[in-house]
Amino acid sequence: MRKGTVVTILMAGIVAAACFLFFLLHYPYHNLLKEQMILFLHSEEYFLTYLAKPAWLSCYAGDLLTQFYIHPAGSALIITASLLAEWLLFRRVFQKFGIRSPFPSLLAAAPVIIEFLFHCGLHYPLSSTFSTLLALVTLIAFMRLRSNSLYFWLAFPTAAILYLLAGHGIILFTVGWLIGGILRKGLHRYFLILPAVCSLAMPLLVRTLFLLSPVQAYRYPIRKPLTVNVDMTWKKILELDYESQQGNWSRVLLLSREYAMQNRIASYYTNLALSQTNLMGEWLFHFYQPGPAGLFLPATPQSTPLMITFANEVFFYLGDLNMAQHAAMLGMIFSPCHRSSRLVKRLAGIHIAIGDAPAAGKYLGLLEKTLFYRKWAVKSRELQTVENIPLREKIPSVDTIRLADDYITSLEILLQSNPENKMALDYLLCYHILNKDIPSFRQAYDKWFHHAHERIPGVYAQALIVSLFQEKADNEVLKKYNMTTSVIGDFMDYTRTYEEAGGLSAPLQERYGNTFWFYYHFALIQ
Amino acid sequence: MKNLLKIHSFIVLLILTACGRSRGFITEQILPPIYPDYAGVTIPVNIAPLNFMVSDASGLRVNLSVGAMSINLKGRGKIRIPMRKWRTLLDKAVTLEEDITVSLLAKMQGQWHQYLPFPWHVTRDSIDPFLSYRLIEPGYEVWKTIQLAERHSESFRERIIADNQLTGNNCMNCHTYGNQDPGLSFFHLRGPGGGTVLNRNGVLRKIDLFTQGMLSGVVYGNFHPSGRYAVYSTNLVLPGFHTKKGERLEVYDSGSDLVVVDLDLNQVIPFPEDFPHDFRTFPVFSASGDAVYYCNAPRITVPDSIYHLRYDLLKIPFDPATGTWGNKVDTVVRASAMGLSVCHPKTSPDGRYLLFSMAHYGTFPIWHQETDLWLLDLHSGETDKLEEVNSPYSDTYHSWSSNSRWFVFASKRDDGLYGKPYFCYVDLRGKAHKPFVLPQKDPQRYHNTLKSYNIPELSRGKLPFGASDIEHLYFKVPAERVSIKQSVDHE
Repeated sequence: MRKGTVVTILMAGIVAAACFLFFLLHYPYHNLLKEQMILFLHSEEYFLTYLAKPAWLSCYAGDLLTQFYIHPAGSALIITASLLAEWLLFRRVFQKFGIRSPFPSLLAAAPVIIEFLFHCGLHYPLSSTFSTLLALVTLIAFMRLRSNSLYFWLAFPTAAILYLLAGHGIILFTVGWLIGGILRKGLHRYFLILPAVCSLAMPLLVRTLFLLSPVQAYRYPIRKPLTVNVDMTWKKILELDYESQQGNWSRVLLLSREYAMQNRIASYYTNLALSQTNLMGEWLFHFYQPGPAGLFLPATPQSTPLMITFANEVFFYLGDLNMAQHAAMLGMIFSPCHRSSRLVKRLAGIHIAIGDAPAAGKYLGLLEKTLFYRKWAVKSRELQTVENIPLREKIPSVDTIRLADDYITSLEILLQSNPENKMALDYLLCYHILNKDIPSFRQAYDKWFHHAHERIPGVYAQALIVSLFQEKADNEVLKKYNMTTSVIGDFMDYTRTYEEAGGLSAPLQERYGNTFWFYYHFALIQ
Repeated sequence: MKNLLKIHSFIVLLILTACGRSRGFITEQILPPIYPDYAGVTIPVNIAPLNFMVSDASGLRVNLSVGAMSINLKGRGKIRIPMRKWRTLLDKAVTLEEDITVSLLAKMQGQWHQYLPFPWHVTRDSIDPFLSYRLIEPGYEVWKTIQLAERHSESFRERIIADNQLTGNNCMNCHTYGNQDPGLSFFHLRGPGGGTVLNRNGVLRKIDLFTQGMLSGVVYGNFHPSGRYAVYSTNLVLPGFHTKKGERLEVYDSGSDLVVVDLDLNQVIPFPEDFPHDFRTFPVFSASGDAVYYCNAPRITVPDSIYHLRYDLLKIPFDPATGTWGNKVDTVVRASAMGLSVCHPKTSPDGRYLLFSMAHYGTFPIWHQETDLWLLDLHSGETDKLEEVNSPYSDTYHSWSSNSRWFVFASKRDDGLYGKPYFCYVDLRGKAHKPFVLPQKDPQRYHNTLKSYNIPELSRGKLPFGASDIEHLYFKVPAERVSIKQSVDHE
């Protein structure tokens, strides 16, 4: 083996290993989400649905393998292998174009780097890489043809078939075929124009058969806008999301502390973790708070698709299962394929908790046709007969009608049905606190907070003392509310320092940055 | 008859077991657990094969027989009936005026089970061969993919007639025929290039059916038998969400009224102002076209009093010669007195029946589990609660076949979430028979889909347009405007 080849193979091996480790250890969360956003069914009827659109082979193969993204090692291995294959094929194409070593290897790295960056995005499907691979294989097979007439006459039929199998791969194939034809001896360049134009026009001509817009027809199977960067903000958010799904609440709080993100979704998961660890009333202001917007994510026409996907989480834990169902259903509608394993699983869980066996059965039936959720579904069917499901106690027994974003009514109803719903109480009190609405906080506190014998959580005490001082409460009242001298002392001290600072936040930041008082005076509500 | 069935099935099963190797089976004294539930249904002579499955079966042996004709079928959990044999079987059943007997052996956990045979009653009253519906996930407020589809009910061919991916991802409402005629239909396309798409013999028009003086754009509608007029409701629609389990979505109007639109003159004829400002919705013309049936409720505060919002079924004359509303309203069904609310009245083309939904309250029956279909015989005045037809879940969004012997409706009876089209036969005596779901080539389709079949409507023929025509109309054709008809003289 030549020295140059050895160096190339060695380099490729090192880069592939780095790529594998990157997706395995540093950047697994995008791929975990991608797996959750598909629902691949092992059923003949489901297979046939792929034939309704172009690129059915790359879509089917891509989705089949995307299932294995459920394990970070699976996604890392599949993506690395795909990129390596793509590099080898591009390299071969450039060699066939007559480019001399070492340039084919270097040139082939460029599209592979772009492909790598695509895979770092939120929505780039594996099927798109497979479309490229299919196009390259077809192109190489074509370039091996010795007969010029076959090279010419087979081009358009092959491109047409390729479009059915690999969608946008038709563009790469046609361009490669055109360049190959120009470099080929004995072929008139003008002759190449007609098959190339026909091939490139093909998606446009057949798009109505596949119900695609002109843009969709050329980019299929890519369905969403592409990003070409390693997005660390989303990486962190998805890590919080993943750890929340696993119920690793302490880890969520540790990560939130470490990342210190000023992001609504990050706050949403942080607050969920605070409520699950009973720390909401103590540590609320130890983390960035964008206002009440950090408690719920809206599932409205103005929301982003991922916001809608995540919106069901808080409602589910609160026990507001109707809203959780609504948000999960909308999340599924907005997933790239309009079916999501994560949300189908959540919908099954919701209906099991409600005790609606036929509806739960619908979703469990779907999950039973999957590779990795089958066991969960079979086990969950047994849960349907269980009477004591903890979440069931939280479900409202009182009926009223509220708008999708009327969170206060939702929380009030949850507490009305089950005053022991601690999470609903925390969310209601914190909603008013984050909204800087002291009278509403006081009203809710008086109505629902019945833990006189307990120490009042710090943040609630800070809000309560503001309310008590606003009404000029005497010592008797302060005592009744279990207000400690340290809270009163801190409040007096804060007030004095605030007045001395003349409206500046800096002098108060270090000592009072984590208090409601500081938030009240200096935070801007989103 | 039952004894005959038993003897017949015994002979058939002897043959089945002799032909195959399934000797030694357990005899079950129950009907087979087939999906969809096609046991004992009445079917039209022109329906597609009733393919079915048994979920936990690893093997199926089925015999379909009528008279001397017998078809043996095998499958691994599913039975697909060959089209040609199916047609012959149906023709034979109609000619002999006999039921098809279905006998079934299912292999479950390695053991064959023999179930009770059941009949399929075949009637020569055919059903309109085309069906349109909207395929949409059961959500509200936010949408992504919406398709209007046309299905040939004599085969399994389905065609998309409008797709919102081709019209800027905007919402589109359900497709409505006039007189079950494929050459007369409309649906509303929302969005900047939207309007009401009117199909008259394949000539497509896009009309903006909103002008000053109207409460809103038009929503629920129905054609006059002449095709010149259409009556619509105008609704200020609000969605709300229940908090209690089991109850889900509530959609209600904060205001609603009726208009007739003259589609030749592009004129809107408002409802007479002499009547109280009640909520008025779901209008339909009578079969003769000389009256409009609609749902009416006194105006109350919503959503606070939604549980008391109950609509009655009213009727007001309409003169098609002059395009004027009458000045006297009659109550046809006082649902509120029964503690119920009436929705979606639909007159049969022969003028004999009025089919409508009844819910406990409100005006959005598809999310009310208690919603049932009721049938009013306009000749005798008798009301039938259609117990044979209704299910514990929502049964609504119905429409008639042109011969008035069949109607189709959306039912959520399987899971309470996803609506599917069911066909129901009404015989000459007015008796409604057990309904059956639209057959699919692969019966698993209903299990795998996450779409609802919304507002199914029957038609005598294939629609003369497709999704690309709608795309062209949306982007290239400006919407026609309408005006309010001035100085309306009511009768």
